[in-house]
Amino acid sequence: MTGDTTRLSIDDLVVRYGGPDGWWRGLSRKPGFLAVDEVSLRIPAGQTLGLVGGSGCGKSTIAKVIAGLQKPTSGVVQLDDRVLPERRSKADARLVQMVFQDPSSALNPRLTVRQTLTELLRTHGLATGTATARRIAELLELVGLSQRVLDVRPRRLSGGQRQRVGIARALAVEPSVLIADEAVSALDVSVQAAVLNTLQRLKRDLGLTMLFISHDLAVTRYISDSVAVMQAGRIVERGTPEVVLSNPQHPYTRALVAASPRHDQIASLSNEGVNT
Amino acid sequence: MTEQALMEVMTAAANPRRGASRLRLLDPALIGAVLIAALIVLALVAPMVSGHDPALNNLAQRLQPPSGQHWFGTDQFGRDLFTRVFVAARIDLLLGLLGALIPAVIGIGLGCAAGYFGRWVGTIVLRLADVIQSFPNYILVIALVLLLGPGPKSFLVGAAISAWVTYARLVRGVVLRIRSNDYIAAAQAAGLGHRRVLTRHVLPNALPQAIVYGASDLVLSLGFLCSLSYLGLGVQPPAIEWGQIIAEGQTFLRTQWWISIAPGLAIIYVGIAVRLIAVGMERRTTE
Amino acid sequence: MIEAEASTSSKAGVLRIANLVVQAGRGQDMTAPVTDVSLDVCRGEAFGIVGESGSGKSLTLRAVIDLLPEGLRRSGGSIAVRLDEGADWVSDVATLRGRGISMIFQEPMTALNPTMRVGDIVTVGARAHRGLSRTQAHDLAVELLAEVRLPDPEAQVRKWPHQLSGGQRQRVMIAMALATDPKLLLCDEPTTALDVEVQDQILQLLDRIRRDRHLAVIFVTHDLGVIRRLCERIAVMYAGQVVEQGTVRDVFAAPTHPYTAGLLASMPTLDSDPAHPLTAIPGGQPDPRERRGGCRFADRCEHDQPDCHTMTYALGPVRGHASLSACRRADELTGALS
Repeated sequence: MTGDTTRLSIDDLVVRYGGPDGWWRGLSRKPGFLAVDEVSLRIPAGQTLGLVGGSGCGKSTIAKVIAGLQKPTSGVVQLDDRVLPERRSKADARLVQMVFQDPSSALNPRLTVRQTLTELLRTHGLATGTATARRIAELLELVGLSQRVLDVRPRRLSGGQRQRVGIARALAVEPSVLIADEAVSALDVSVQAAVLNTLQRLKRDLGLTMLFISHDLAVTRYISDSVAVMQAGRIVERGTPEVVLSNPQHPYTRALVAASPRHDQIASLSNEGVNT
Repeated sequence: MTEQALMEVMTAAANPRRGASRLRLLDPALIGAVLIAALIVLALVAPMVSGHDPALNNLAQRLQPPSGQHWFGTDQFGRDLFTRVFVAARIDLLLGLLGALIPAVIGIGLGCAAGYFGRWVGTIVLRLADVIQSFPNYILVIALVLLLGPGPKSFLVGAAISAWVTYARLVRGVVLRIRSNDYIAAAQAAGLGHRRVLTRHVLPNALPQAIVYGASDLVLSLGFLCSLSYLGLGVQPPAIEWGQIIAEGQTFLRTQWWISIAPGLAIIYVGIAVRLIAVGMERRTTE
Repeated sequence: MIEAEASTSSKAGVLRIANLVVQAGRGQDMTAPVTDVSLDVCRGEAFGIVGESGSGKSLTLRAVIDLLPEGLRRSGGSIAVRLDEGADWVSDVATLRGRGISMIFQEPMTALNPTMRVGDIVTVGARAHRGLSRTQAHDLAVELLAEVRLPDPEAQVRKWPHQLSGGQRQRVMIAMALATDPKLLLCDEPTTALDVEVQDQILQLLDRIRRDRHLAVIFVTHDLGVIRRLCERIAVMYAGQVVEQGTVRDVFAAPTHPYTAGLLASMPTLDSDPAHPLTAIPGGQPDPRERRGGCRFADRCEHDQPDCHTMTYALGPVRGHASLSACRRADELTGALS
C-alpha cells in the first residue's frame, strides 16, 4: 500500500466555528468551538478510507471542507499534489463529489431524476443532445437503477432508490474523489446491504477513491481499505481494519469495537448468554 | 418506505379529501378561477349587456331602486350602477393585482437574498423591513399623494414601498429551511453558481408558499385601494372605482342603500373568489 | 430461557395482543399498516419487536397504549393487560397510561418539554396520579435520577433539558417513565438516535432496571444488535405482520423465515469478508396500498413457490424448532435458512 500515489490529502486541518475571524483574531477572547483539531489524512488512489466517529466528532465537517462547502480555519486540502482552493471553480468542483445522508433532503423535490442529472451534465458540458440521454442511462445502470425512475420525482422513490440517485448524481460529473457522508445510515439494513454492494462494485469497476464516513464500525470496516477513528475533532486511531479491530488502542475505539456485532455473536449465543 | 413516509401515507389515506376524484369538480381553485373569469368577462362587456353608458347622467332617473331597467339601480346622477360597478371592476382588478404583484416581486427577491446569503444581506433586509413596517401605511400614502398627486400612481408606489415586507419575511423563512436541505449543498458542490442555485433550486421550492400568501395579499391590496379611493386619494373621477362609488353613495346609505352596497358586494365577491383560489393552491402545495 | 409459546394465563402474563389490526382511511382508500398481529408478553420479560421501517412495529406498540397518530385507528383484534398477578385482564388499556404502563420514545432531543426543569418533568405524572407533595416529588425525582445513573442527581433536578446531552435526556425520559411505578414499559426505538457508546449504556441501564423492578419491557427497534443485547423473546415484523416469533437465541441461530434469514445475512459484522458481497434482499417492502393476497414477502423471497403467492397468513409452529413462523415452507427450508 505504501508507494501508491496519494490521491487526496489533508494537512493540519483546523475548523473552528464561532471564533473570531480575520484581523481581530488576536484581540477577541471568544473561543468558539473547535470542530476539527489539526487533522491530517491521506487516501491513496483507488482506495477507500473509512472515517468513524460519533456525532459531533467532526467527520462531517471534514467532508464539507474537502468538498469545498466549508471554509477551514487553517490547513490544506490537496488532490494529486495540487492544492484545492477554498473557493472552487466549476472545473475544480467536479473533482470531489459527495453523497449525503438524508435521502429525503438530498434531492430537489421538484425535479425528476432525469432533470437532476441533465442539469449537471449540461452545466459542465459533459454531454449534449442525444449523448445526454445515453450518459444518463449509463449512470443509472452503474448504480443499479431501472430506467423507469427517470421521469419520477424523489417523493415516489424509496430511500434506497434516492440514495442511488444521489450516487448517480455524484458520479455524473466524473469526480476523482467520492465522499460518502453517512450515505447508508438512514437506510434499512437490507437496503443498506444493497447500496453497500453497489459502492463496492463501483469502487472496483471505476477505481474510485472514496472517503467513507459513518458511525457504524462494522459497515465502515466492510467497505474500507483503511480506517481512521475520530473523537472530539481529533483522529485517535488509524490503520488497516484488521489492525484496528484486533488490537484497538484508544478507549473510544475499544468501546466502538465492543458495541459492534460479530458474526459469531449473532449466530450463536451459547457462550455469551442473552443479556451481556 | 420509512416509518415517517408510512405514517404520511396512512394519514393521507385517512383523509378522504385527497385523491378523491369526485371532489376534483369542487376544487376550490377551479371555482375561484371561474368566479374571477366571470367577473372579468362581465367587466369587459358590461355596457353592451346592460345597454347603458356608465358615465351618462340622466337626472330623470336618479336614485332609482334596482329594477328591470336598472339591475342595480341608479345613483344620484341617474347613472346605471350595474354598468358602473362592472366597469369599475376593470380598474379594481388590475390595480389590485399590480398592488400585490409589485411588492411580491420585490419582497420575494429580497427575501430570497436574505435567506440564501444570510449575514449582512439578511440583516440589512430585516432591519429595512422593520423600519418600513413601523411606519403607518396610510400616512405614507398620504405623503405620497402630496408629492405625486392623487391617483393610482401613489397607490402603487405606496404598495411597492411598504407591502413587500411580509413577502420578504415569509420567503426568507422558507429559504432558510430550503437551504438546510442537502440538495442545495449538492448543487453548490457540483459547481453551480449562486445564480443557478437560486433560480433552479431555491426559488421553485420557495414560490408556492409565496404565491399562496400572494392570493391573500391581493385581497388586502384591493381593500387598501378601495379605502384610498373612498377617501378621495386613490382613483380619481372620471375613472370609476368601487371605493369611489361607495363614497358617492354614502350620503344616501339609509334611503338609497343600493348605491354603496353594490360595489361593497363586488369587493366581497372578489375576496371570496381569490380566497378559494388560495385554498386550492395551498392544497396543491402540501401534496 | 422462557419457553416460547406457553399460554400466558399459566405464566405471569402481562400483555395479550390478539389479531390486532390498525387501519387508516375508509372504504376504497382503506389501508392496514398492521394486520393480524398476536403477541404475549410475560411479567419481567424483555420482548423485542424487530422490523424495518414501515413494518408496522411502532404502530403496534402505539396501538397498545392507544397513542396512534391522527387518522389511524385500531379496527380489529383485542388488547388486554394484566398488571398484577391475580388481577383481571383490562381491555381499556388507555386508562392505564401512567398508571402501570409507561412509554419512552425515540427522539430525546424533542421528547422533553424545554420549559420545564428536569425534576418537574420526571415527577409530573407521578404527582398527577399519586398526589405527591412538592417535597415528596423532589425526593422521588432525586431517587429516580440516581437510579438511572445520572451523576449528582440533586443538581440535575434543577437543570433544564437544553443543558443535557442526548444520552442524559434519554435517562431523564426513563426516569419519568419509572416515576409512576409501571409494570410494563413500552420502548419505541429509544436508542436509535444515540451514539453507539451511549446506546450501549442506555441498554445496560434498561436491562438492570428491568431486572431490579421485575418490569416487563417491550422494545421496538430495527437494530438487530440491540435486540440481541436486551431481549429474550422477539417477534419479527414485515409489512404489517409478524413473520417469526421465538427466543432471540433460536431466531438468530436458526431463523425459520426467509425474511429473518435475509435480514441476518445482510447485516455487515466486524468479521464480514469485504470480498464477498453482502446478501441483500432484492426489492423493497410492499406499499400497504398495493398488497395482494398471499405471503407479503413472496415477491422478494428466493424460496418462493406459486402457492406462496396465494396462501393465507398464519403464524404456526415449525417442526424441530421452538419458534413460530409465518412461512408455509418453514419445515422444508430449515437447513437452507441458517
